[in-house]
Amino acid sequence: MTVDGNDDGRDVRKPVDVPVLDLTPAAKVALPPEDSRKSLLPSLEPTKAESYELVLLTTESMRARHRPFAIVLLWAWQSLLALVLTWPAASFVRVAYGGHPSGDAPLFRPGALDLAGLVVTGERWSRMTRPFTWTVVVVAMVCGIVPLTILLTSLCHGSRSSGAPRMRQLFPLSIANFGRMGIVSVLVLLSQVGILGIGFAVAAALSNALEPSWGTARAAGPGIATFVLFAMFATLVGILGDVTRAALVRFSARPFVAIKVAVKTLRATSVVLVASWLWRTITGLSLVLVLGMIAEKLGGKDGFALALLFTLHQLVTFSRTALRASWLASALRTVDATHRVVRART
Amino acid sequence: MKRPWATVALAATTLVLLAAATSVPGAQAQNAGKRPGKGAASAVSAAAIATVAPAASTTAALQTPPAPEPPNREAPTTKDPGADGAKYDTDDGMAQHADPVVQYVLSAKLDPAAHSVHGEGSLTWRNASNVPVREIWIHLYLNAFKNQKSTFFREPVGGFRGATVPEEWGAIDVKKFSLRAQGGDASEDLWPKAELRRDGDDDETDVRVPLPRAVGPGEVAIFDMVWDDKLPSVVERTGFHGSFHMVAQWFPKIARLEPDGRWAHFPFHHLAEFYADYGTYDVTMDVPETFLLGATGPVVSTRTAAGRRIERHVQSDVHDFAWSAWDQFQTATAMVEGVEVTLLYPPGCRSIAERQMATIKFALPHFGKRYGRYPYRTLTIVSPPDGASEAGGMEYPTFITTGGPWFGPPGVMLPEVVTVHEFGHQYFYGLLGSDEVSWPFLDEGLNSYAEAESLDAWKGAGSNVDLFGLTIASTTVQAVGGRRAAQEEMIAKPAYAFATGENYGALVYNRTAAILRTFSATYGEERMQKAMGRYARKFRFKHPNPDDFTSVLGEVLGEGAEENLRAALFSKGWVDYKVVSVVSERQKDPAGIFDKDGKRETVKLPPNEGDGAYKGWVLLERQGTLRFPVDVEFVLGDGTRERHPWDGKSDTLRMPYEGAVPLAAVVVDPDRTILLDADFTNNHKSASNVAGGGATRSFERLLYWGQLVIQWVSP
Repeated sequence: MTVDGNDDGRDVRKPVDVPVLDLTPAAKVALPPEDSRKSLLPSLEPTKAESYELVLLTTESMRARHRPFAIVLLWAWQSLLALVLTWPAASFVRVAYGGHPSGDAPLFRPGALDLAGLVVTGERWSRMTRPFTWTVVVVAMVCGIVPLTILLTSLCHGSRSSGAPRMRQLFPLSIANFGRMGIVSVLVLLSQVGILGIGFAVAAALSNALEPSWGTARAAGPGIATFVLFAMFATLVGILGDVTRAALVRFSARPFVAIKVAVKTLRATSVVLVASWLWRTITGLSLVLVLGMIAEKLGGKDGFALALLFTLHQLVTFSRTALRASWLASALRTVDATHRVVRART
Repeated sequence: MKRPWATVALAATTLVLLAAATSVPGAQAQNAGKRPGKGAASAVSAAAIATVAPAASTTAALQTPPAPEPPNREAPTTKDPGADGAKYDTDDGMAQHADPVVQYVLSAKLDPAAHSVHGEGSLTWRNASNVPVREIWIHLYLNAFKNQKSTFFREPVGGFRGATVPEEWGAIDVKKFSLRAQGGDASEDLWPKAELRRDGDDDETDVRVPLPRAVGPGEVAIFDMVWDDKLPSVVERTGFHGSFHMVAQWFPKIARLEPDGRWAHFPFHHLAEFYADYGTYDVTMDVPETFLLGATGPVVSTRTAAGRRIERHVQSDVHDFAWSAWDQFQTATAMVEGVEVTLLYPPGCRSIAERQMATIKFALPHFGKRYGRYPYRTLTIVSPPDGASEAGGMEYPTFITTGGPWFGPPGVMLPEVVTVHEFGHQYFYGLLGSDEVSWPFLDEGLNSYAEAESLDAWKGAGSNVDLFGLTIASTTVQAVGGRRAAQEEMIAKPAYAFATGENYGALVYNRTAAILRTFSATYGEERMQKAMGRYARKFRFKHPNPDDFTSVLGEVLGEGAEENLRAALFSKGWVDYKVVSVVSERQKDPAGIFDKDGKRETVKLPPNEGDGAYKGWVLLERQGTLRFPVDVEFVLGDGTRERHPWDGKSDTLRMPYEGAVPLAAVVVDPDRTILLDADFTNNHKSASNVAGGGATRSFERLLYWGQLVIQWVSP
């Protein structure tokens, strides 16, 4: 069976019985042996997207650059939350130093006397706003599932009637998937926290055991190496979590089926996936560090310098969101390429 | 086991002292500064206890000494009314040696497997007071870690060091404490009659030992001692961790007898440190051959025998002796201004050790310039291993312990801060032997000031943290740290009287330092340095009290400064400068009914625009009990800034303004000279019709960091 696709990979026909649109093997993705793929098939459900007038895209069409609106939406959501998160602190600073003839410049003086003084002065205020801060963080963790799901759905679907899916199509679908995505997020978070906790305990025990004979600094080496191994494992779990999310949205799978799909995908294409995640993460971190150095030179005290710094900061945050979208698109392509052929044959 | 050389030294000591007792009748305790200079520390002789009383006083003075009292809160000043303060502004005027009151000749054998030390030796002590005594007080501070009934563990003051309950308890058991035979008397072991505990108190750190005879003013008594230490796992400056051993407060140590005959004796309190007389310590340590030793004073002899390293250290003009032994010590040495600096550190900590050595290379000459030349030949620095941090960050004469992790970015100055602080104690504790128990601010507070002053001079604004463009000065840390407890308790009181460890740390260390840094900024850095230098030189090798300190500062900085200092130290003194209001309006003709030339004229509102000049006023307020002069900065509408002085004496001040441009804003103390200011955020105000500079920059940064945080926590 073949499927026609337009330029952006959107299926032009109703694919009710054939939800996967492109049978062309994805380039650059090493497919696992067919036996390993077959085992998943009975578990896969028909896609929910169809009921929202959405169609699946071809593998190679799932690109972040094709969905700028979804990226902007995620970035805007995160920026809005950041605004809410920091508003109390910003207001406190404005009340304390807004009336100073030099504005908040004393807070940036070398030695940080005013800044430290403000922190101490604001301790009570800080205690009062702490519940608010945690609330915003929890909202970011929980409600952030919705824009993330919107992004993922948008990345792998097209609207039957037009190019990119509309919000009226994406939002209900994301809400529908909220529970499943939430389960995945909780599992990922608990796993990562558990792994890091165990890693810390094991590393500390190892260092402590070696310390009497090896000395403090030398004994710390194996401990740090051990913790790094656990941290890498936790990172891998994070990658697995993203692949699971991709599988969940792509195949409209239940969480544990999606996890199985993700595990098999990761096993089959671990190098590709890790490399794909790694270069984007390094790029994102590098942007922050490089901009930090630029900001130190730039100062960004006021006027043009401040406007420029603001622009650069926003570019960096947007780029990081775009990089995440790019990584998720990559995860979608990989999970799709790993499993779609078999499904289509079925 | 006593060493043969020790026996010889003891015999010589006794003979010389007896000879001196008959040949120097009527001699009184001499000012140490007037004594002839001594040779190197290896010169161990009975001459260290040079001044004795006439033999007659030995037998005549049998009166009962005054009962022990709590620490003397109103101790008489040790002011030298005849002294010209200015002569202490250079090293020429300061004492070259201490007035020696004690001489310890000790030997110690470490069993690293049992973590025990067997000690033997003698204590030669001179009654330097004006009254005879029938008892002495001995501190057995290792017993603080004997059980949880000790004063140390009973005191409910957390929040500072010493919170660790040791995994292994420690104790000191005195086996013998005998008064050396004299004038036909038989040597007598006094320990069976010693009062280890008070009624209802199980603490065994402060022991009263009745004497069989009175020891008169100037008279010398020699005590022979044998004892065993069981070291605790590292807790509060002493103990073991693995094979690392920090041996401090390890021998029976005599309390200090004040000139008026009162013993300054204390149990080992949770927050308190130490107080003792100057003298000579001649200590021979015997450790396994594989162990390296660090200790007070220079090595005068070392040998190995039967798998043991036997090292003798001798140091005069000090009031304590501590040592450390470990079979994993790495060593670094350097000569700094003629001082042999030895750094003992754990394996793998070379980079931190290099930072510590670089710090000493800066601090030693800097402190020498500020507070007088460092008088000893050696300085030994021990960096304890991880897990023994309670042994770190402590000072003993010519011997300090540092701390901090083996790792750490160069921008976080913890190794530098700790090293400078502990080295600074060589002055404010070592050379200025103030009562650390009764007046902890005199050592910790003054030293914290000296620490920040030197670090700021060395590292500038980033003297505490210099990371990713953020600089935090040591002065900043002290200013805001001290502010936390400013109204909780007063500073000048005994360590054990503080309600919490947090208050103790905030007030004794940080608040005191912030007070002195405020003085420096207000009365002039040069004058403040002169005052501190004069105090440090004048009272070198003495036991200054708070009056000595405040009077020297008053002498150099003026009466107002002394008044402020006393208020800040003794009565929770505080201050908050505030701009209450800023008014600036175009000058207008007055409205109302006016009688002029027999006619009544009504000037209606709105009045005219006047001649274009602006008039107004600024209302300033000073709350609190401290009064410092400050600058008041007027910021005019055209951006011009004018500075006006305010003596800060009145509670409020209304300053008039008249000018061609409106007054836009006012800042009181724009240079932040008053580190004690309780709130910087009310030091400025804009006129009601003028917008301030805003907080856009902060908002921009906060938003960016908030975005990064949200991106990090989002799924």
